[in-house]
Amino acid sequence: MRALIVDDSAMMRKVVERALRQAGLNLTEVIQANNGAEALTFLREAAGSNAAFDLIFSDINMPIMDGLEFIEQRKQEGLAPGVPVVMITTEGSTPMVMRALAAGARGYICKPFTTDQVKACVMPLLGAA
Amino acid sequence: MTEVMDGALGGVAVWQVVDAGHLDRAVGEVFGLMLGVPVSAVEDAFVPAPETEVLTAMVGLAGAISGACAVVVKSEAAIYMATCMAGIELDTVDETVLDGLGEISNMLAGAWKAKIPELDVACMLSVPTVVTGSKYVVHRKEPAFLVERSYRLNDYLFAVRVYGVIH
Repeated sequence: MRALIVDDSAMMRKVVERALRQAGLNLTEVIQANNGAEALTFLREAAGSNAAFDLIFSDINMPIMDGLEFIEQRKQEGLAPGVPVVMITTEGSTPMVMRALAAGARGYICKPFTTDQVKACVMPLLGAA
Repeated sequence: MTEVMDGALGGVAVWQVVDAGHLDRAVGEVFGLMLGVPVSAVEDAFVPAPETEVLTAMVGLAGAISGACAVVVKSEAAIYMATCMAGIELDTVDETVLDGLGEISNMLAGAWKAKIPELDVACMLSVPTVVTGSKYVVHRKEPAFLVERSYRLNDYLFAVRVYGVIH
């Protein structure tokens, strides 16, 4: 399984990757992006190759391009349309969640989180529930 | 410590914002879930000696509140926190430690405002900033409210402050 983790914090990218592995995901490759703009670049590159992503995790509050703009732009460009996107963020207000879901997010996890929460969110998206 | 100045509070109830229990619960959640280490509130305020190297991680609050959430720790405590979070041994204040402390302040700010539904919707967070050094003072305008609590994390003490004005 190939995952894209988008967060401006290298620490959080590491924590999210660890949580995904502890949740039982067989991650063969994890690509890390510092912000939404970098993530879009990875998705555009993947669109022209066989290296498709299976799962995308994105923070919201990031410099340069935030997570909401990232998934809105992804939707607009039709990049990785079938790949589940999970937002993982400190911003858990209802309007923020609604905006993320409207932009194509399939899951929403608030920091701080547990491995069980990650598992409960991700597994149904991967058809493994 | 909780302070409220007269005449500066608006739509959100004052008692909600200055309730130290919100901050205690937020701190417990962040350290318990993300670091796997329990913390306990302590009565004596954490005041590091002036010559000590201190890290202050801050996240700005904007919208319904103008202010900040700040975490104040000695370097040894910051290294320990980042070690717990990353799951790897760290021994000096490097980018990983600064990054980890910034994320802790970010999660604390988010968890704190989530305790107050009116704020959760109307208060936005900035990206974190971390200040390092000794003998420095963080200057700010006189806040309308200040919630300051000190905590023990194993052998280490640290303080968390949330302050600002409510619009």
